[in-house]
Amino acid sequence: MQEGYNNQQLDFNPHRRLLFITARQKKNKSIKPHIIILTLTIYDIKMSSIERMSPLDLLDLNLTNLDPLTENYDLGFYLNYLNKWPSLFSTVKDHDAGIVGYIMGKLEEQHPAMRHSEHYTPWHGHITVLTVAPAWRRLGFARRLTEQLERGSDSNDAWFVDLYVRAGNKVAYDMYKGMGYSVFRRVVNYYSDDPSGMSEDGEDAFDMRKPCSRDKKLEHVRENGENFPVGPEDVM
Amino acid sequence: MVRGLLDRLPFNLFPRQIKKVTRVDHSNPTQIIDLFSPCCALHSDQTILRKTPIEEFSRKSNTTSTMSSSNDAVFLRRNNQIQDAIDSQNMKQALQLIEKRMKKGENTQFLKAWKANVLFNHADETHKKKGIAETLELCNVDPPISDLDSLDILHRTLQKMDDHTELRSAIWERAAKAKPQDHALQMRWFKFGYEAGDWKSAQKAAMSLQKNFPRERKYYFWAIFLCYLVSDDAASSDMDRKLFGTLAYRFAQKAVADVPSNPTELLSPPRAIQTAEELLLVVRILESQGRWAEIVQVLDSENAGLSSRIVNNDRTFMLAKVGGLGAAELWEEGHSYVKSLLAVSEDEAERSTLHERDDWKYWNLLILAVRRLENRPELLSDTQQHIEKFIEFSPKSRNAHIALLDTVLTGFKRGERTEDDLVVACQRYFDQHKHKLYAFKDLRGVLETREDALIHRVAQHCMDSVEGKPDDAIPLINAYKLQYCDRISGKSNLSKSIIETLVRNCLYFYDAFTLLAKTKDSKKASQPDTASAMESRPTDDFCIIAAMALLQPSPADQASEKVSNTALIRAAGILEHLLIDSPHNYEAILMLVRIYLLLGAGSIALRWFGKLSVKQMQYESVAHNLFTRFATIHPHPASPIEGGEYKDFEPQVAFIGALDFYRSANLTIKNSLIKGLDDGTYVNLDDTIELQRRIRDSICRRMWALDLRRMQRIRKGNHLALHEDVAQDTSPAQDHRKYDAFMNLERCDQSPFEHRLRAGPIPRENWLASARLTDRLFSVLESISSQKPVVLKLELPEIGKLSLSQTDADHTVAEIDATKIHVELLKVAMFMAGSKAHTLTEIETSLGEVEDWLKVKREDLALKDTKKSCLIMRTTIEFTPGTPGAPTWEYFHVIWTLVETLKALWNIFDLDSRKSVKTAKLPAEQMKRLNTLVREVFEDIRSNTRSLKQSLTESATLSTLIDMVKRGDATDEYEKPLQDVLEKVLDESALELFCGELRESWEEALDGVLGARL
Repeated sequence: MQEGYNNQQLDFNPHRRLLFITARQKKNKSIKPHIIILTLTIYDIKMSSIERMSPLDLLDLNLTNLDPLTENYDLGFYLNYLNKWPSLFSTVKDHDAGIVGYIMGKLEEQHPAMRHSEHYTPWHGHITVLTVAPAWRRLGFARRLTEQLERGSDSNDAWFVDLYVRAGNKVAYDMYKGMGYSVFRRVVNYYSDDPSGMSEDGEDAFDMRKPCSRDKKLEHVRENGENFPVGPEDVM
Repeated sequence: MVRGLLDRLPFNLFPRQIKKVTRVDHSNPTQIIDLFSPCCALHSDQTILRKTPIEEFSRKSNTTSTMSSSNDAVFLRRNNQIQDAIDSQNMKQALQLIEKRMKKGENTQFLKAWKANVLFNHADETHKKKGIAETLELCNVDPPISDLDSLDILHRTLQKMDDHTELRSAIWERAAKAKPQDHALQMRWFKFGYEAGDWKSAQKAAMSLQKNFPRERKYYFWAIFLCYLVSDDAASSDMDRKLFGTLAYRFAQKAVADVPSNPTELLSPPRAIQTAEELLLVVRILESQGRWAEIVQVLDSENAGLSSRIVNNDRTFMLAKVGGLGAAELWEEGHSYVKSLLAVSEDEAERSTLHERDDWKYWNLLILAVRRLENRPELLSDTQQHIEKFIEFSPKSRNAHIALLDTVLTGFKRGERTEDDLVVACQRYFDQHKHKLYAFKDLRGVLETREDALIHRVAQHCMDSVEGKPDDAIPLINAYKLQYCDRISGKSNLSKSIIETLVRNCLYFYDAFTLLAKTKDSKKASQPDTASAMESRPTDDFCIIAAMALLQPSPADQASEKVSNTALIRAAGILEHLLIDSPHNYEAILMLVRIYLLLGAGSIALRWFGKLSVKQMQYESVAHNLFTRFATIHPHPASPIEGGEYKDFEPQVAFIGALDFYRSANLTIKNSLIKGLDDGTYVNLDDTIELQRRIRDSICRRMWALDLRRMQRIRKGNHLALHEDVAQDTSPAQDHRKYDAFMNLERCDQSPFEHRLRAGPIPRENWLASARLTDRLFSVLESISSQKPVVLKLELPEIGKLSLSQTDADHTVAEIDATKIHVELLKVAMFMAGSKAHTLTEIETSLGEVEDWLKVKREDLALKDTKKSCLIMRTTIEFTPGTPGAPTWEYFHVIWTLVETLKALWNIFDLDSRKSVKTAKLPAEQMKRLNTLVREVFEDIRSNTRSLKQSLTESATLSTLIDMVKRGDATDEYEKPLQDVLEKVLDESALELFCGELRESWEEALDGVLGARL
């Protein structure tokens, strides 16, 4: 699948707002025999752990992906992320319930042809999906998953980690704000629909960013970013 | 298709096509793979042959610059003529065209290989044998064939020939030796082996690549990875597993050893590990060989260990080390390592990162080490203190609290702690975590094997400790879940008062907390938050607990865990009520889907299932909740739903969607496996290969294929040819169905709750075998009808393996019954097709058995008083004792299974009577009697169904159903208090709507039966 196509699909996905506030679960029975020995030997009580996502985990996403707010992508979409950015695809595993949350991210920069633009987006980490199963929300898993991705982006010399959230999604906005993200710019009519019914032209997105250690001068933090409008074409 | 069109472009466009192919950068293998893999994936062998002449020619044009484009076109036209003949299955003409060109002097290896392929593809044995001989001759020619297109054709011919796996690899190996610098050739060899799962061949190709192109370091890691794949493949011989395992280990060892100790050393050997993914591959190889201590050793090393530049603080490796320590049983080292990780440091910076290490894998090793180091009894108290310090630092840490609880449990098991200590620890845990939904499951885990009295003490404390404040919803939910576990789960002599008290309390609190939330919401001035409206609410659990409490096995059916129909209807009423307020609660929806299936309301089950928007991987993990036996419960389309998709009311569309997923998943994974090699994510590729196996061999995939074809047969008398290969696949199936989305409050030693909501036992291998047999029966009859050749070698051994004489673990009684008859009918069909496996006398006996069976069916369907038959009395819901009210899934399952058998018989009658079809004739008198019986049984089915429909229409079904939801059994002395709560909580109009829809669904399903034709 072409990367550009993925972006387009994601950016205009009406569920996108929802991706930032949800998630899922499973039991890892899918591991190979030699791993099973390890599991039986070691893990026999119930706790939670943050682990790398495995392709086999894709069979165990019921608790998160049955939720209507979490999109079920084409298999190739997940496998592309697992191939290209394996360290940015993490899960929360509960021994009893299985996978109860995951984060999917990537490292990218805008096409070099855009370098002349004042809106050019340099090398950065991007949160594509963050989801936690309904019964496992408000336990801090979203924060831990995000921190995991931030560490991965930082060690890959990214300038910042960013994500897009609907301007009207206060729950997600507040959550990210609490995790140190701030609005860098408002992408006008980024979403083609507006669930709140306030506008017929669609809904704006907030491009929220959190600087990595490379950004010593905090070039990617902007005060009152909510009032800095750009067009969807500037962020593609 | 695209390739075919390109080939037919006007001549003046053709050079551009050549240019595209010849511009491949041979130093970039990905480019080559990308260029060729789509056509290999999407085209049949024969179409690929159309491509190869172009490439053959293109290469010639690349090396012979004098060749003109008009000559190119001539070659293309000639090749197309041959390919057209192959496409139209005219092998004779294709052969003539090739030979004509060869006689004119174009005696190339490519044409020889193509000729051998065409000969092999002939239907007759003489040509086929000649094709084999010529192919083998070309494979052994000296000097070896080394042009890509000839090799391609030889490879594909060998693929179709049995027992030539080694030779398939050998032709490439010889070619690579002849042209060691031909990168494209070795890449093609690698790709063929890798895509086909022939790891050994791909390993040889990778070795050749790494030897001939040493500047590309990735080939070395491809070779290591392929060695590992051969060693880890169950299909490899013991010798290969050992040999390649050793090879993988040695390579990996060297790759680690070559990493320079000094991270500033820039010129590290090219074969040294440089990335985290390469190091993970080493860990995976060591894991597969059980070299756990070596994992620890590598991760402790200076050059490739946790502090190295390669690991770069990736926590995955810390977890790998913890896993290695545990599996190597290095308890002392393990305990000390995780203790240091979980120690609360004096250093502020260190303390701030402590929560990152609060991972259950660390805690688990800590506890496990304490348990195993029994010779150090002081460790228990010491560890307990250590955990207490962590809790002091991070009071909310669930992991630490669970670890503490486990130390008490360990002490209890050793006799160092008392039962009181354990109860106090549980109470403390509950007090600290009662506001979290996980508290119930954690406590249940600790109490799993404890005595009833202890569980009761803990459950009672939890209930007593909840004060009933406005924010006590979750503590109450946890307390009621524990109460369910304590008082209801696994109790054989369960009193109704206990159930109904729990139901009443849960509904009461659901209502109270919902009202509270609505009051709060109405006070909010801000606009309603759409996201919150779409989220399930924790208080939903009250309704789910209430429904689950009602769904207890009937005292008479304790062993089979069968739930009474009254309880099903009442639970459905409660869940429908919940879903008005919380329409996206998937736990409730899934439970409701299963309940409607059991109630025989297939159209509502379909509709609710549509709300889950199941797609992609969920066809493997979730779809079975609806699809299992749906073909024999509701095979016909339901009424269209406004705004709904076809799959939400037409089961065939839903099944086709699922099968499409499996087909495309196979292609997607193939492409991903090739691309992933360049990304170097070896461990994920290893798991992707396993994922590919699971999807390819999925039991669900075969079930959906078999049942889609069954639906087609039931509706139209025969199935389509589509999906036959999947349906008839006899290789072992893999079962990865998941049931984790159902709430389960049962004790750990009891069956999960969803067991009692299954429409029959879970289909497994035996079910597949009997469904394949039925499918084969219809295929044979269809082949006779269309005068296609029938494979007369009847493979019946698997039938013998079916335990059809008794209720099998994965069959319903109706399925066993039908399969027995289908075995006999298959014998008859094969006899008609000309098989000599059974004599006419044996066939007469088989038909006699069918006759007897039909007579039994007639008795079962015989109506007494025009309303009741034996079948109706055992498969319907009684609104008033002794009077059939509405059908259940069992009624439809029996009826549709029977209809399928009648259709098979009808097909046999039809073929036997047709003069245009040549079949071995069956005894006329017997066939006449059978014909009459089939008509009678079919008419009996219709009269039973009509009778049921009349009962539904005539009786006051709606009011009876409403009463049933509110009151349950009229004779129950405890019903009044529950009835009061239900009347208060359930909205009257919504309840009427629910009952009305249920009745309509029954009517629609009965109409479906009445619409069936022979």
